Amino acid sequence: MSSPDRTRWLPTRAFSTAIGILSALLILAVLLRRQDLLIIALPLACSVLFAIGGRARQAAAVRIVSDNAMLREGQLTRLNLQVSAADELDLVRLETPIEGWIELTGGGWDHCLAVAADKTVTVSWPLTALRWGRGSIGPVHVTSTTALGLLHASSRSENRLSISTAPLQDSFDAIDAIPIAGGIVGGHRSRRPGEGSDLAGVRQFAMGDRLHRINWPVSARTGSLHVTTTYSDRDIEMVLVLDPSVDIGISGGVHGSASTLDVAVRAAAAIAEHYLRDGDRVGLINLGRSGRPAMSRSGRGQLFGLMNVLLDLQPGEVAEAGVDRALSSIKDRALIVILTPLLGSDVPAHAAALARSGRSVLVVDTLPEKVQLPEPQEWTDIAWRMKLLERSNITQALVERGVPVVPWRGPGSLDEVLTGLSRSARAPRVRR
Amino acid sequence: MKLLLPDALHHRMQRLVNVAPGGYRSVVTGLSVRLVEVMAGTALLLLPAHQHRLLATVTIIGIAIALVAPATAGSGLALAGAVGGWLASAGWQATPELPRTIAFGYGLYLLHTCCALAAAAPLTAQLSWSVVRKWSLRMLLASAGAAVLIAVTSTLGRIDSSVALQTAGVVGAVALLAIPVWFVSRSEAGD
Repeated sequence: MSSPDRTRWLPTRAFSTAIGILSALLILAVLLRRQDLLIIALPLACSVLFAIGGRARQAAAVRIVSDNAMLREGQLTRLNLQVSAADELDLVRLETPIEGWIELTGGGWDHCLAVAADKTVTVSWPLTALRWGRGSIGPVHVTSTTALGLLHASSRSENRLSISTAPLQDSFDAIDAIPIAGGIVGGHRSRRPGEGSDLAGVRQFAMGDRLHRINWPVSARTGSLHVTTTYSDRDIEMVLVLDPSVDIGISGGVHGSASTLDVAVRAAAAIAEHYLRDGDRVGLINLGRSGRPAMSRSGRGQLFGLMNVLLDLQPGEVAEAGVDRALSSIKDRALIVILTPLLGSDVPAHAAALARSGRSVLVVDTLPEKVQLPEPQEWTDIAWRMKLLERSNITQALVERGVPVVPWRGPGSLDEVLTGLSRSARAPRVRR
Repeated sequence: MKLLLPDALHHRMQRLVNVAPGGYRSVVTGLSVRLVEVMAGTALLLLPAHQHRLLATVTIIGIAIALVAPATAGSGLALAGAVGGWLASAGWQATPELPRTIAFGYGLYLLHTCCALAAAAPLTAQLSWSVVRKWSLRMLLASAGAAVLIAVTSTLGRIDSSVALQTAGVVGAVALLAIPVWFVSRSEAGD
């Protein structure tokens, strides 16, 4: 807590006004022999004398406390300001600066309260995270007022609260149909027979088959031993590739409009959370900083790592050489999910090249359904329509080259495409 | 709220409510403080037997400034104008009635205290009930004391000049002038 040992109280304008008026009244009373002026001065003089005599010695100390430092978009928590004072204070004004997409719902950025001696008062407001990103609260500017508003002192709260808002709102649910389940163990059905729960078929008993796999009804009916075979359950490796080269649209927070970057970040976070929760390995390549990819790992720590990368995402140039190097480092059996608004031709070209080389590639279209263009001018509408035509051509070209393109519309968007990818992955292909 | 206020005032209130963290409650509390300022100022204008036009204008301008920007010199201007008006109302050597004099002194105190509160807690700030309760209680106690004094002194009539009162005035003036000097020297010693 910010507890100054010796507070330097400064006189307010009310103090100088009171002293000036009282002095004038008393001098005039003497000079003009007017006792009524003395009586007039009496209430104000008593008030000033009592106020100065009973003033507080120390200013208020304030500490910022929040229930959570990591929030989801739209999540509500509480911001608490603990105000303590050694002496009674007439008024303590708390001005709380807020940075980032955070809202103090019930007000609270400018609050006045009175504090009793040796008491700690906690004032609390609902705090809502409006949009993904990093934000901060504080340090709180504290103005303590004592002596009936005649003296004041300014201080700041010692601590400042950093709040990270993860781009997660609803959990993403996809059906369990992954084209390449390539690990040793895991939760997804692979295309290879082995230990698992999904039925692959019934075949004749062979040496090495486990006895508990014998299908007794079929064996009794056919007269020879048959076993039930299953597909093995394995994990997958997924690499999310983010294209931050273009950011179109206006961010309006969790309940407002979304920009392309908003959609990309939210989609990446939802997909990563879903697959990491299932025990899969997920990596992330930000094409704007392709030299620093987040390697594929599994676990909750990886989710926090990926969130940190996503929170720092900024729109920026995509360096061609770096992109080639980053994409070539992805393992052959990884499922590559490219998140792009398809407003440029470079990233789609890379997606097509990856598909041609036999990789499982999926493009998630991150252009929102309704795009709010900033500062529309005379030619903006026509230019935007031309851009959309070009985008449509790019999408069509990708589909023709076997790269599925799916618009991100929240949870469940990828189900259909993952099913298609799974089916197409079974077909023989030539690797170039 | 819209039914009670004209459109222009309603729009201004709406803007304030949008800015103020506490919404209507906060704005209403802030406006109540300013309403008391206006009432105290009006009392200061009405209490002198005859009002000097120029000094009354100065007082009104001072109150208006204090309402809009309480942390400025508005309250000082209003108080100075009111005292000048009091002096000019019945001539330099007049002896006004005691209850009227006490009421005027209480009016000065009230206007000054309200201006101090308004300066410390702007209209856009959210005022907690603890502040409202504390300051209201003080003002109510002062009002009760003033009311009792006015009631008691209404039977005494006018006060005459005396050496004791004049000595008290000189001592009071010196003591009051000593307060800022003592305060400044204490602050510097504290550094």
